Amino acid sequence: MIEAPIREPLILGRKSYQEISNDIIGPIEAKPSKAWFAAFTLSALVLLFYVTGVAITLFEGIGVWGLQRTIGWGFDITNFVFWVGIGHAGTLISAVLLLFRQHWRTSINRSAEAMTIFAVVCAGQFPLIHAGRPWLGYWIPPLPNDLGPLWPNFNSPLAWDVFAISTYLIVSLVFWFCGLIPDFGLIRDRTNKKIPKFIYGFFSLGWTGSLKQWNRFELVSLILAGMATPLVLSVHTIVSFDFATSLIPGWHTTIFPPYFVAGAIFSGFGMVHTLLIVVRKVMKLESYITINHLEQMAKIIMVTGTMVGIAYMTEFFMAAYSGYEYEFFIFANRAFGPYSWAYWIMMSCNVFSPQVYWFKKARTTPIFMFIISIFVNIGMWFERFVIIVTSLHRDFLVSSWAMYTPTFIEVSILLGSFGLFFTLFFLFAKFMPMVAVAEVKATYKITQRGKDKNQLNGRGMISDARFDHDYTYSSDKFKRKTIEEALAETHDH
Amino acid sequence: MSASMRFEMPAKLKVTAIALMAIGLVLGIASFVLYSDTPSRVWSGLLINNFYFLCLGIAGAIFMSIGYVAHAGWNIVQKRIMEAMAVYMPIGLLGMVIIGLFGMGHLYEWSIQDIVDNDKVLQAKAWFLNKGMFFGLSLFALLVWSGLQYLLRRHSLAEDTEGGTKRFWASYKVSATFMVLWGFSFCAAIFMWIMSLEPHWYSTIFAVYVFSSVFTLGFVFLNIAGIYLKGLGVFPWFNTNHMHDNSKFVFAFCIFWGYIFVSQLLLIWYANVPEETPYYLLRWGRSSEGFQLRWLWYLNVVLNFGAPFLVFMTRESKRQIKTVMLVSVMLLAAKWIDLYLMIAPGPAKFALHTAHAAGDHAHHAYIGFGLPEIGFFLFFAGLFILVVGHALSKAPLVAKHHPYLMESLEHHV
Repeated sequence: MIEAPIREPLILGRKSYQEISNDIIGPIEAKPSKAWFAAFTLSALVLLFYVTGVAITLFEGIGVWGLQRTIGWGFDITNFVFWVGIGHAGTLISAVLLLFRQHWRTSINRSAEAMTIFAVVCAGQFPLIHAGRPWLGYWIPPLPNDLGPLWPNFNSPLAWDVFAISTYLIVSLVFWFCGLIPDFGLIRDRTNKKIPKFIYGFFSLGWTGSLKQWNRFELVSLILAGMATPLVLSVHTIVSFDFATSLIPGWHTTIFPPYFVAGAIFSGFGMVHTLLIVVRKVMKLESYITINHLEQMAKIIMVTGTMVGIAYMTEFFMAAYSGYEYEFFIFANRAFGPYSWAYWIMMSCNVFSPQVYWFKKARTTPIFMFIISIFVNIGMWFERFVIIVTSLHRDFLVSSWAMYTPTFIEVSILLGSFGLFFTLFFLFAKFMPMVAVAEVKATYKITQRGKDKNQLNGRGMISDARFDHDYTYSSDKFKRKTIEEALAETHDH
Repeated sequence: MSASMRFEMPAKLKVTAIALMAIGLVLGIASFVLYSDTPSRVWSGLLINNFYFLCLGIAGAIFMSIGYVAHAGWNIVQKRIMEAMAVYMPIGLLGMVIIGLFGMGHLYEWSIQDIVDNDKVLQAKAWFLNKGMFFGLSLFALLVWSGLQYLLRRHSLAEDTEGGTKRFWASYKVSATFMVLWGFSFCAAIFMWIMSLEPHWYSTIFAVYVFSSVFTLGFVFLNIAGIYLKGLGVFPWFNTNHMHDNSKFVFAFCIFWGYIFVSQLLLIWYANVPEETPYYLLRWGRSSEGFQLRWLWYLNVVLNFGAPFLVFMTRESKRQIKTVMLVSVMLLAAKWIDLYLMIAPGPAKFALHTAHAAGDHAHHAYIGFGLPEIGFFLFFAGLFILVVGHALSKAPLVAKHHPYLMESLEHHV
């Protein structure tokens, strides 16, 4: 396995394995900083909005929301789809990028997976809350009917959703935990304190780092990646079926499954950007989560944003092309009706704003990427709002047309769900390694070789002059070869 | 250095290709005579086969561009094959223009003014379904897609002698431009070329569906070409690991095809609205036209999804030349069937309705598998082999100074 010198190094500076461990595990062992306390307290306070909003909803019933007979889904399902979408980047990074052998994933996969799990935890609450009677929540799984007149309807995409999301949560959790095992072992071995040693020791499942264990570890990662890859597609596909199997104009369209998946990856990477741009600064991880990493993600955001743009245009095109007037009305109403402000927020945040990433400068300036990532988050929330509310509020029967205004309680539940998400994320940041230490070390050697500072020009690349005259590589056998020699070695592996 | 890095088209291959073209041409012309009562059948045979090989050309172009944009390293040894495939692309696009010029009236219902005048739906679509738009899109594709690919090819050939990374970064920019322009216009072109064969029907996912086939076909061909060239002894750098990774992509995109196939079918089946269901009813023999393609339709799913999914599941199957060749040949056929099912019924239905409207209720072979389908396949297959073979022989088989070449040479899965 060799890597071309033109690739940028994954980790900056020449570090020993010891230094890598210290940099990443250090913050866990130290006392939490003031910044962490402040951030955690703030998130916990915001979480109170969620608790209060949900408590009022449960005591009073969902009548305290702005929903009515025309608009049966509002903030509740918008939030649900939004959070499920956020949860897509983690598995994409850990599973799909693993299969694609993208080594840059190792610096970001841990936190992205954690983020995925917390996002799915947030998302999972909304179907329960929006049904209004959480004490009957166990009806959500399609139980065999000895309870009453209801029979589980396996034709319903809402039932498929239960399977899709719980499978996704379980597989993501297992994937995340398996990756953590060697790192837990590392923390266990480094600490002398009794309680942490016991807890980390318990979760490291007796990890010794033997060859056999590494072998199993690699194998299980690959198997889980294989299992998780279809899940990246399936979850949001089935969420899209919640809408697309209906007959409602603006919901029933065949492009929904891939379009929702692209949008989910887009929003997931948006959130990863938001979190990591802050985290790398606060936790001093700049040499692990480098500008190069942020740039790769910026590119993915641009590509998926443009794919979402193609889907928006395809929908609009087909509404016009089909000659189906109800469909076209919905789209005209989205763009120019009473909710056009939401539509144009969606358009400008999701399709236009990522286009600035065509410029290298934009892709490499963290503060700029942070701002765009906030736009992406806002835009993707509004996408779901636009899809749900604008398709419902003016239906086939003009007499039932209505407008939807969220109440204070709905807004506080939305706000509070961010509190829940960030509270969980800050707990994670304190008690678990933010970067997969073992995996970073595994790729470090491959990607760093031959990339001494004196060979690199300003962009972190090998300079052109050097490239021309001395175009050699070092292979695993630590001998240098020219292309001619390599071409001559025609043996089959 | 072993092997001269050059590919000379073997006389046997050249003769075979020319023979295929000649036989195909004769059969094609014969089918115009023999099927003079159903010219739509002949034109749809021409369209299916032209589009089939156009897909291969497009695949070469997008693989190369995606490779540059994504900094792909593993597949650089087969870059010249992709380039050669892309060289065919303008010919396929020119074919679309020619089909439009001479066959439009036999294929596209919306191009007949009398029909549009009596059809409200087609009137509503006239802003898109018109000749200007058809030729506009086709010429855009011909000029812009091919133009950008020409630039890529030029950079690549120049890189062979110049070295350095200048050409790489230039190609990187061209590729990004290509991917954007191609992405948007490909969707529109597919709606125009293929979906509008049944102009009353629509499906927003349709372009993605075709795209998934393009991807699979491309990787299948890369494997076949790689194995062939290796067999000739001129391409020793292509090894099991490249074949393995190509096959992984074949596996992945067969699943992706299945996913898109189900997404379209399930949503249309579930909603069951009359604007959408006729597409499937026509193929299942459940419409008044009575075209019985149901078994072919099932076979299509088995060949395009089921079989490759099961066969390519294990690692070893993707690393054995015999298995890979078997699946590749099967998929070449499967993708043809898929295109046939997409394209053939539309013009057949149109021809049948036109005949009925004119009072002709006699039995004609509006749909089937015979001379036009086989003849044009042979013709385009020969043409494709000639063009790709010629393009391959024009340049060294390995892009010697590509910055990622070494990663590809040392590629190990």
